[in-house]
Amino acid sequence: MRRIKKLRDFILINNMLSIIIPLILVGLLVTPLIYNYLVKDMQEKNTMIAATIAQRMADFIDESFQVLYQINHLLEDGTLTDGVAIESYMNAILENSDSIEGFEILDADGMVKVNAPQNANILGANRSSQPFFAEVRATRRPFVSSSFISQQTGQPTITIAIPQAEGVLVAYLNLEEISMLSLNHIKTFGDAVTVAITDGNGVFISNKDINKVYQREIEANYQSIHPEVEIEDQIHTFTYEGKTAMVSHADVDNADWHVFVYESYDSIYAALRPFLGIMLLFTCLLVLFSRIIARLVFKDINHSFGELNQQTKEIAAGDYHPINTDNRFDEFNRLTENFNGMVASVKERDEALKVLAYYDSQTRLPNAAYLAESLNQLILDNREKIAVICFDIHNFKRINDTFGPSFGDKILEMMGTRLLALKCSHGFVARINGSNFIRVLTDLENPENAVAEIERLRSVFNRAMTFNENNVYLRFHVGIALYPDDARDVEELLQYANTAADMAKQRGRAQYAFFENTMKQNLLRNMMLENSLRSALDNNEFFLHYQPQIDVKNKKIRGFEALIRWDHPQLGMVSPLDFIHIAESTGLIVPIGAWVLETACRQIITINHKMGTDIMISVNVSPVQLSHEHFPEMVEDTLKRCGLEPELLELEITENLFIHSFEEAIKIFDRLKQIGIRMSLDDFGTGYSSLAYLKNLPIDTLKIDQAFTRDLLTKKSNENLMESIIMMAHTLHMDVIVEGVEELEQLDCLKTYQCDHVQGYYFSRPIGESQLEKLLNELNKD
Amino acid sequence: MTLTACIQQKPVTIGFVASLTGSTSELGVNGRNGLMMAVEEINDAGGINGRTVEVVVKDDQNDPETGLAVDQELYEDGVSFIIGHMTSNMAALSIPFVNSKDMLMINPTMSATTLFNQDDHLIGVVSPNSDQAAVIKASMVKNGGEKKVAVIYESQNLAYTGTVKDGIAREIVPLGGQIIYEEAFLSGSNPNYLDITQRVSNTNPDSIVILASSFDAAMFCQQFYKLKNQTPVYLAAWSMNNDLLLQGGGAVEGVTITSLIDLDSRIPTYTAFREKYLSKYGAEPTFAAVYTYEAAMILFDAMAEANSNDPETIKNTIIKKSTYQGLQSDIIIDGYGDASRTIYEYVVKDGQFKKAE
Repeated sequence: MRRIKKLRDFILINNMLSIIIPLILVGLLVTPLIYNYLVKDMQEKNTMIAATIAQRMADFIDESFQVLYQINHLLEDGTLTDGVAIESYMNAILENSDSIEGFEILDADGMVKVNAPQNANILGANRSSQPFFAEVRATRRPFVSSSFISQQTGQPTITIAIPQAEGVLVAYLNLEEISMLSLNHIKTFGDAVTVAITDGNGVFISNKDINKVYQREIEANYQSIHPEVEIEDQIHTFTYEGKTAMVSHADVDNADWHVFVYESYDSIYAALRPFLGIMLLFTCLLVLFSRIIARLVFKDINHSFGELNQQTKEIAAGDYHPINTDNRFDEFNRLTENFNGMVASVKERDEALKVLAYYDSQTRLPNAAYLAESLNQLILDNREKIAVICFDIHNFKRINDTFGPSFGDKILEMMGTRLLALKCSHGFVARINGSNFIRVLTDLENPENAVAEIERLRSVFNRAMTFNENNVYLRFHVGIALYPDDARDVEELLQYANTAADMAKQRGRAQYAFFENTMKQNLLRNMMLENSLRSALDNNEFFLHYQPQIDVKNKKIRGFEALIRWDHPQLGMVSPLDFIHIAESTGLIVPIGAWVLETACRQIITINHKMGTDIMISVNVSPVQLSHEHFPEMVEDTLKRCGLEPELLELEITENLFIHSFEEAIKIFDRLKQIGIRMSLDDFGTGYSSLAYLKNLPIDTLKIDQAFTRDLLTKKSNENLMESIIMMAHTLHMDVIVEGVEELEQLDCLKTYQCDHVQGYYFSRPIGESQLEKLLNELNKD
Repeated sequence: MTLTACIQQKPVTIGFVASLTGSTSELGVNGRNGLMMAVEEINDAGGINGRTVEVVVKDDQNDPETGLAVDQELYEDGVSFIIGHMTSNMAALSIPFVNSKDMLMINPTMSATTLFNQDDHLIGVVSPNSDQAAVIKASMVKNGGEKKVAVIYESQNLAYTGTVKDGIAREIVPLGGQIIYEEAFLSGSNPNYLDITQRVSNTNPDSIVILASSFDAAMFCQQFYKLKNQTPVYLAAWSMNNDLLLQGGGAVEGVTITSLIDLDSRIPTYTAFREKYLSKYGAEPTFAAVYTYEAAMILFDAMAEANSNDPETIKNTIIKKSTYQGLQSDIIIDGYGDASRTIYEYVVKDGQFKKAE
């Protein structure tokens, strides 16, 4: 993984490197040049020193020779004739000279004729083998000897000699004096250089360490420094006493002597040091300078980064504004341009998502999510009253079923268009689901404002919806919940508005209802019922009552209608009206219905066995139950299990079944009829009561609702209606059972109209199973 | 391996002590030159078992007290091997010190007979003076001059000169000869050469023996030359170097001199050495140079063979091996660490040393 660096450090380091590396390279390049220059300079300087000293030595020897020539001159011109005069002259010279220690005048055979200072041992001695005699005699030229230790003085000595008459004139020179001379001379050149002089064999004539002269030591590198063939400009470097030194040299012209000048390389390093120091200082200053510049540069960049950073942070937090930075860098401007492009597209996409998330595509109205959020916001912001008006298209499913789903969609679309055209102020209209709409009305001064709004909405609904030449008039039931009177949060408000709408629906068409507290209690009761309904079956809280259906002609019992009862542990007896619709909405109606069927079948078999009768059993079936796909199988299984003849079972269904799908209902009917059971249409006259579909249904029994029976004797027209229905049923080969017969008059009347069976308090209210036998005995004894 | 490498890297330090200054320094300077050639050779050949040789050079100034002091200095510096001294008079103080400190001294030229046949810490590569005395006696006999012998001898190096003188006396007495006159002198003190030679001449000896350094011997010869004394002169090996010829000139013509080396040797090892020496120092190698070179080579050889730094072990190794190849001939070293070498006889003729016939 790449290491993450800080831009600031990166710039600083790179800046520094870009200065240091070239400087180091320059240093690496220049240092050897300077070094070489210094070496060459030192060599030139020291060679010059050597030459100067060599010249000095040559002068010294020349001066010494001059002394000999002077003596020779005096001898030859006869100034000095006798031995005593010569000797005294020579002694006078010796007294004034530091270096000359003695003279000898040799005759042609090498015999010492005169010597100074006087020495009887030497006077008359034979010097014929001495080079100073032999060579001068042979060459007649001045001669300089190599060094030797004088036996007179015990000190290193050389001789110089010139021809004198037939013989030779010799002088002895003290080397120590010569050495001192050269050493004094070198002092003027400073401490760094030292000097040495050797003779032609490399033996020291002069050295800082005078012992080397006394001991006639040889210059260790004599042969390397002073080779036979000299190489021009060669630099001699040798190690002396652990130190590397450069050796320069020069020859003394008039003697086979060699001057060596030594200088340690330390002095070169010492000369280099200030240069390197300046270089280092320069580097440091440049680095410092670069840091300052880099910091200034980075300050600008950092400002731009900071701006960008701050603004992108705001964008990341959801504030999608374009970045507006003021900076000097084109790169940043391009970056911000791109970023702004990105922000714009994110914003655009966000808007689209918002539309998707908050608007219903069909109606183009706000959706449930929008409603929840906006209403919540309104509640948070608004101190005024708010009305939540719920309105639901009545029987929208039926419209869908009748005219097809695309018609339904079209209607919703038109609704949307119309509602949008209404331009609702003070709030908004949202579609929640299916055909359910909510109008949120803010700044409500009193509930009448809500009613006025409902009237305004009605103007929308009351106009016909036309599509594919189909005209439909919609009806709505409307419920109103008020904030903060009824509830203070969104969920409750919506729930209460819905509850109120349901209430309005129950009350009648095109009605509205304000939410009331009783509704709330009802709601709570329903909630409680719903909760305890789940365990009621297991706890055996249900039981059945039976109401006899009596043959009008012979007053005998045709069968019983099984009616469910719930003995709630807390609430006591609960009416089926209160809990059946809950069971239907929760789906619990399926197991409850199955239990009812089986219990009723077993009961009737028990009775028939006991009494030897063929009494039928009628069981109510909910549309929800009926639309359950395995319902016919369940019925068949139950019959088999109980051993009941199918023709003794009659299932009672209500007209509501057909609201949803008539075709579907016919299919289920046909399937059930195949089992061999009877089908009965319950509560006839309360619903749509369309005679049209009756003829197409395989219905065996028509049960006329007790509302007809109640009004039967009050109006003549009612009697006619009853007679017509009975006649029509008979025409369609259906039996007729009239419910709610409570009086003899009613019975008599019905008898007139050829009514087949009756049911009602006149004969018996619904009774428990324990009373069945007794009732049978009573009614059948005649 | 690491240990050996460490030891190998540490150099071997030896001491060299001789008179390097003053009138007797000729012997010491030549000895140092010979030693330096030996050291150069061994180091060029990779040292002693990989260890280079370093030399600490000390000047004894031909003074026994100074000699003892510099020996002490070497001992204190941790040096166990000394090559030197060069003159026999140094032995009296030096050898007891070397013995007491268990050092080892390889002696190139101290030939006093008293140093021989001693169980000491001294190895010599030179024959005893008695051998020289025998050669001088033989020369005298040849020249018919063994009866009346006069001896001039240097007194500072009495250990040397005395033993030669005594040896000669011992040799000639059985032949009916005797030393009829003897006179000592002190070198470097401007001795009155002329007076001594006159006293010697006055005794009318058959032979004159001068036991002195080359310069002193030459000076005496000069005086005899001036006196026109024709008595045969015999010199010991101490005088045997070029300085005798330079200083003596015509005065030393006909002088007989014993030599510890064969100047005319054609043995390749010697000729190679001679050439190298000549080119390095610009002079002929003297016996001092040859013997010091040989002494050093014997020490290096033994150190390499024993692979030791222990003086006792080295001494025993040298004695055990006993025979070494010298530059001109084999050197036989006996159980006392003493050598026996051929002594040569030379005569100065036409300013040159000529081997006696």
